[in-house]
Amino acid sequence: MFAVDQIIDYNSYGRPAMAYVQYSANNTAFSAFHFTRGQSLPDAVGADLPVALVTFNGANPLAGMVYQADGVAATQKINDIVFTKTQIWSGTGSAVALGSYDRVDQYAFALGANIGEHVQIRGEEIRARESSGFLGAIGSGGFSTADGAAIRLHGVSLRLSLNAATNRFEAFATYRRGAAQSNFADSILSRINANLSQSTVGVSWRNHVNAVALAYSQPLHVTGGDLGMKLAIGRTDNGAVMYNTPTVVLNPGIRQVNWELGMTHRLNQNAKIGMNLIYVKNPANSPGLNHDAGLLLIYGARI
Amino acid sequence: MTATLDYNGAAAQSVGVAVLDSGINTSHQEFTGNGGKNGVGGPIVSGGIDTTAAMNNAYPTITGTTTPQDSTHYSYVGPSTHGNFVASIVAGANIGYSGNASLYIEKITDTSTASSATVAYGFGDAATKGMSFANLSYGLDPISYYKLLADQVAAEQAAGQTGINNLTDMQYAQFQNVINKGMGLIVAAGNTTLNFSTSNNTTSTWSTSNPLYGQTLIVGALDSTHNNLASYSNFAGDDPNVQKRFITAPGTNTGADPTSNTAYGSFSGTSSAAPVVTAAAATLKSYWSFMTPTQVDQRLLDTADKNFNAMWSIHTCGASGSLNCGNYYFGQGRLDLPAALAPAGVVVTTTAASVPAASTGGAYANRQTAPAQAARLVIPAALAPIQQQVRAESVGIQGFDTIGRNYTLNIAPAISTATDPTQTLGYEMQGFIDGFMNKGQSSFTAFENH
Repeated sequence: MFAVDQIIDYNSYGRPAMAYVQYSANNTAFSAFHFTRGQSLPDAVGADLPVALVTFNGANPLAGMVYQADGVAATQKINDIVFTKTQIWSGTGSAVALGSYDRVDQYAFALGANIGEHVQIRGEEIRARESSGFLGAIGSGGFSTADGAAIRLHGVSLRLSLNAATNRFEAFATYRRGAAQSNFADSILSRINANLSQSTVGVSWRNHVNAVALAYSQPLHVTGGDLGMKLAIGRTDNGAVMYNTPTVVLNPGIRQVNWELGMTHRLNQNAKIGMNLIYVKNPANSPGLNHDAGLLLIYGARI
Repeated sequence: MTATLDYNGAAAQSVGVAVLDSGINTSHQEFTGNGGKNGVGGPIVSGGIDTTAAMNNAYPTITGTTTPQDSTHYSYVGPSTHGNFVASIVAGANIGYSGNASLYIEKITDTSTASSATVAYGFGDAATKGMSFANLSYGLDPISYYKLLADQVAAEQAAGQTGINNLTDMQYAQFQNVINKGMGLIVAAGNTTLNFSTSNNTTSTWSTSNPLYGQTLIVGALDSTHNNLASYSNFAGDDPNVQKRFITAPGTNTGADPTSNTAYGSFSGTSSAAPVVTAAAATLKSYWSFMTPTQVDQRLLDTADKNFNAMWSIHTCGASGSLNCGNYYFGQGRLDLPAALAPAGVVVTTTAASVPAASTGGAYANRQTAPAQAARLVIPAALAPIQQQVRAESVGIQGFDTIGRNYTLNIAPAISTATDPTQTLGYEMQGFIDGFMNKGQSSFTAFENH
């Protein structure tokens, strides 16, 4: 037995925002995918929710920072309970406001277990490499760098799901933590060692007509660590440069938290209404704001 | 006028300057105390000698004065007041151009003339005493004179003579000491309205291979407007090698009159201009002690002002025999100390082990340029609280110009925070709108085979 599943999402410009094709046979599935910023893959924890932010914050770390990425994945069922998933993707982005180019290459491995029909738990190990940025240059709290950064995260995710007739209830949680490191041979910023964390928790319910979700998330962010500087403070008569090498503690100070409530109601095959309420505490990219909130009422129709 | 004017120099740096002249009144108020205007550094006058007596003591059989002489007195006796004026212009407590020079007095005469042998000994003694520069406001072309001595010594050596047997040998040895120590010689051009090149026959004596060439500056005098050569001043002339070592400076300055401890007077001539240049050299070196006198001299030449006289727009000298071009009169131009103090090229910080140890200008193969991060360090908005700390740590960071001189940089304005507009709520919500119709969309099975 085999099956080929595919999804193609288009953005408002009519361009593919996400394309996913999976070939599955027996206990193995292979997939290839393309996604753009803000689009999560169909099997990512926390994906497919009628809310705006969690859909990618809960998915692949750094995926929310690339403009577009391509990758492949393989899922192997060890037995009826245990499975492994290996995913590799490479994406490009740019450090906004700096104009530099950044490539993110990510390798992820997950060991998961489906406990009964309703519980899935998996542990993850994620390695990423940025070519010229540090945590997406700016987006998630990183720096623009010339030498790039190596990122290592490990985490755990839990998904509870319950299907009853046409209703699907789901609760999910992910937590990842790790470190990102950069060393710079030719910069006054000689190194960065940052501790990172990312977490998402949410619940959702939906049927063929309605969907409701509530999610709480903390995007990938810096929780601590330090950076080193190499500052020329003088020279000797023979030209040797003297340096001061202070260490600056990375006190994040600002920790963004998102609360999201979303709901949708499908009026028919071609029309849909929705509401999205977002509250952001300490929005990292809006200096001076302690709170930010948005309410969105939307009606969409296909013609 | 941007010549020198009251530039104090770096604190706590004393640059040794020898003044070969007619001695000073050590009790004059310009020479008491420490460190000139700011009271920094060592004493204004660190000491001195009666140069002639010291020479006689050093070479009794050559000079014919075998009875030991008292060489400790370098005070003004008269009739010449020249030395007191010159020394005060270099480093006087109130009127000196340099707040950093520490003077060593080589009293070579009491009159308006001095023996060339005494001058040579004075130069050599000053070099031995560790002076960085020696000011000579008496008429002697040291480069030509050294060439003369060197030729004579070479002839002696060709004839099998070795050692110091006569005044020529002694003077040659003194100049060799100057060369070995690298001391800078700053010499007045003279006040006879002569072409320095022809009057000293420099085409046969000056060459870039002459060891003293790079260590010597010849100073012409500007008139009271500072825009024209003084009517009396000798000028560089038509020898390009002279033009490259010739510089001009204000020729009328207030100096200390030794006839009383509080007397002053106007002092004019290339004798007055030379100490202005010497003071500038001392000031420059006070900031960068690693600069050799040769490098300091070259920096003064390289940065001399050439935009003050119409002669600089005349370029027809030479073939026609005309001499009214800028460099024929002013050499490299008018002393411009602020320009000499200003960075050569772009100042960049570095992370390299070393910067150019020394050079006289130009580009360097091993020059380190600042990486982009040094020029612009962007801290993400989410980490904005550390911005001030990073800025504070950067205070005092040093940058280096193309000749390795360090300057304090203020990079705080370049340490900024940046936001990512694609991470704002409004942008996210727009993305939500774009994908709204696809939210919750299920995959479909394209093929299935059981």
